[in-house]
Amino acid sequence: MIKSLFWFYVGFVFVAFAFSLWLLLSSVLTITPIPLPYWLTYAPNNIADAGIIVLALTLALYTYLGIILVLHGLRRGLVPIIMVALVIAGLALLLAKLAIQALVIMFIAYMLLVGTYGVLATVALTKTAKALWVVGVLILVFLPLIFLSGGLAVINYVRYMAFIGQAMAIMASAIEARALSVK
Amino acid sequence: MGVGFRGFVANFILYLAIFSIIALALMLMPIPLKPYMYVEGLGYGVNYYSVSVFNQPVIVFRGYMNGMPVPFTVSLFLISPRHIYAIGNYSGFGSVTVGLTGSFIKHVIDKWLIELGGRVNPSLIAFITFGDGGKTWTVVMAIPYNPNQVINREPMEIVINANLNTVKPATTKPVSNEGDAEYVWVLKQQNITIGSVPLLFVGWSKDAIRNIRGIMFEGPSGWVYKGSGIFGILNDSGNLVLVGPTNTLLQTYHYTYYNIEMSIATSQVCIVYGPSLTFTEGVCPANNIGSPIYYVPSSGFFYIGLPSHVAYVAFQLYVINAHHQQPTSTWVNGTIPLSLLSSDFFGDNYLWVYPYIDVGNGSVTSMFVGILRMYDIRHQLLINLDDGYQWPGNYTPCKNEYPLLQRLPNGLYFIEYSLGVSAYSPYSMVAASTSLLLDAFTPGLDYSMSRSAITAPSIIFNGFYLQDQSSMLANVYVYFNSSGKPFYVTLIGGPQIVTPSGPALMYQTGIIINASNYYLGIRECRSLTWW
Repeated sequence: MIKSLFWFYVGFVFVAFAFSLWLLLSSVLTITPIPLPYWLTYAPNNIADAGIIVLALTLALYTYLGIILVLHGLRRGLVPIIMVALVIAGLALLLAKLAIQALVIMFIAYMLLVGTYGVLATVALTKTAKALWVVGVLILVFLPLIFLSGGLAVINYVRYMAFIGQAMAIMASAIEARALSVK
Repeated sequence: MGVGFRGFVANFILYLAIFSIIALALMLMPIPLKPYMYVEGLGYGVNYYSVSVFNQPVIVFRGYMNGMPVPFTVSLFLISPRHIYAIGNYSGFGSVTVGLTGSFIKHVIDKWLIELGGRVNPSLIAFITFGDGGKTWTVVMAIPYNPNQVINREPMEIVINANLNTVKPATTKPVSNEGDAEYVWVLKQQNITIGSVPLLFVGWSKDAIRNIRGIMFEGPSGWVYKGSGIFGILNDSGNLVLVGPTNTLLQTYHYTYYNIEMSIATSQVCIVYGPSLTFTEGVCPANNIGSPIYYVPSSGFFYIGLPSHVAYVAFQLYVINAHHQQPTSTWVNGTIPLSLLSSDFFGDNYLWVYPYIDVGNGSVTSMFVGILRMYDIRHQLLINLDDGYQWPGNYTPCKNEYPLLQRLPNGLYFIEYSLGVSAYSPYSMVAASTSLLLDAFTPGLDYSMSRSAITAPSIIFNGFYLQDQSSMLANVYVYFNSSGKPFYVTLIGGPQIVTPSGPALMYQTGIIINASNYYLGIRECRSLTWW
C-alpha cells in the first residue's frame, strides 16, 4: 500500500471537480444578466484556456503518480512518466507545425494513457476501483476504434463513452482515496 | 496529518466526485446550456443560445476591460433592407440586457421577412463604449440574428462579450479634477451611416455655373502611407478637437503606401451648366477635351471622397463624486469615421477615391449648412477663407494672390487652382465634411435625451486626418469667356483643429465659385499654407 497515492487521487478528483464546476457555472451564468468576470463566461477561448489548465494539472498529477510508484520500487511508474514526456513532446511538435510527427507521438502517448489506467488498476486496493479502471481501459481502447469507424455520425456515442470513462476514473479515484484514508 | 484529516478529505472528495460526474453529465445533455453558434469580430464574440432565462428573445451585452466587468453604454441599431433605425441607448455595469420584443423592433424585422422571406440573417449594429477619464473605448459590432426567431418570440439569447481593451481609445478631452471630483465623458448618442468622407471639393452657385464656361476637375493623384490613421473631430464649444485615430489603414505586406486612384477610368471630370442633372461621356463644352461630364442645373458641389462607415456621436460630461455620477450640462459632439470599405483597397497598393456630385443632399452641403449655422449663432467661422479670384478684376490683390489667369485662343480664359495636402504627422489630409443637425440625431430617443441634446453645440465636422505621411493633389480649372458675367472664387481651407501636437497646418481643400460676391461676402487675405 502506497499512502502517498492518496494525494494523487485527491488531486485527480479535484481537477475534475474544478473543471466541471467552471463548465456548469459559466454556462449557466453566461445566459443570466449577472455581471461576470471574463474568465467566468462560456466563451471559446475561455474553454480552450480551461482545457490547457486541466491538461497541465493532469500531466503534473500523472508525473507525481509515476514518481511515487518508482520511488516505491514499482518500475511501471515509468509508464505515466513517459506518457507525460510524450504528450509534451507531441505538443511541442504541434507548435512547430510538424503535424504528422505530432500525431505519431500523440498516438503512442494515448497507448501509454491506456497503460497508465492499467497501472492504476494494478495498484488499486479495492475491487471496485480495480473494476472501474479496467472498464476505463476498455473504453479508452475502443473509443478511437469507434470514432475511426463511425466518424462524425457516432460523435455523440463517442462523447457519451468518453464521459462514462471519465466518470469511472473519477469514481475509482474517490473510492481509492477513501480506502487509503482508512487503512 | 493524521488519518482523521485524510478521512475527512476522502469523504469530501467523494462528494466532489459525485458533483463532477453530475455536472459533466449535465453538460452532455442536449439541454442547450451551450451556445449553438459563435461569431467573432474585432474585440468581441457573439454566442447564440436557444434558451433564454427571460423566456423571450434577448441580447445580453457584457463589457470587459482586461477581463473585468466595467460600466459601459450600448447604442443599438437595427437595419432594415434600406434604413438604419436606432433602438436605444442603454447603460449598465458589467452587463446590459436588451429585449427584442418591442413592437418597433418587430415592425422593422418584419420587413426582412416580407421582402426576403427569411432567407437572410440581417445584423444588429451595436456600439459598446466604456469611458474612463478623458478616454473612451468603443467596440463596434455586427450581430447577425435570425429574424424568424425574433418575430416568433422564440426564447433565445444572444450573449456578447466585448473586450474593450482590444480597441484603441479615443481621447475626448483631458480629465479635469476639482477637489475630489472627477469628470468623465459618457457617450450618449450615436448614429451610424455609410457616408462619403470628402477629400477635395469644388462648389458653385446657380448663377455662377451659368456665368462661366465650365469647370474641369483633374486628379487626384497621391499616396498615403499604410498604418496611417483616420481621425474624427469633436466640437467642444466651438473648439474642434481631433479624436483618434479611430482606425488605421491596413498594414499589409509588400508596399509601404497606397497609391490614391480615382475609381473612374479618366482622372478628370468636367462640370458645366445644363438643364437637368446628367452624367455622360463626351467632349467637355468648357475646353473641348474628352471627359466624363456632369451637367448641373443649379448650385452644388463636386467632390472626391472615400466611402466610409461614419458614426455621429455625442458625449456628455459627467462628474463623479464618491460613487455617485451626475450629468453636467457640457456636451461635445462630432463624427468619427469607423472604417473605410475594404473593397476600396485593391492590389495591396491602391486606394480608390470616388467622384461625387452633391446638389444639396451630400456631405459637403451638410458641412456648409453646419458652418453657416455656427457662423450665424456664434459668429465663429470654423473654416479658413481666402479670396482666390474675381472677374472682372477691379480690386486690390492680396499679397499671396493666386493663381494666375491664363489665356487661350478665341477669348477663352482659365484659372487654375491646386487643391490638396502634403504634410507631416498628424496633419490635415482634408478637414471637412458633415454637420450634424439635431434632426440627424438618432430618432426614437426618449424626450429627456433629445432635450439635453439641444444644449449641445449643434454642428460638427467629420475630419479626415492621416497620421504619418501622405500627399494628395488635384487641380481645378475654371474656364470662362472674357466677355462673360462676373464671378468670384473663394478658396476654402480646413477648419482650425487642435491636434495632440498643436494646431494643424491648413491647406485649401476646396473652392467655391459665386456670382455676386465672395462666399459669405467676406473678402479676406488670410494666408493659407501653400506649398
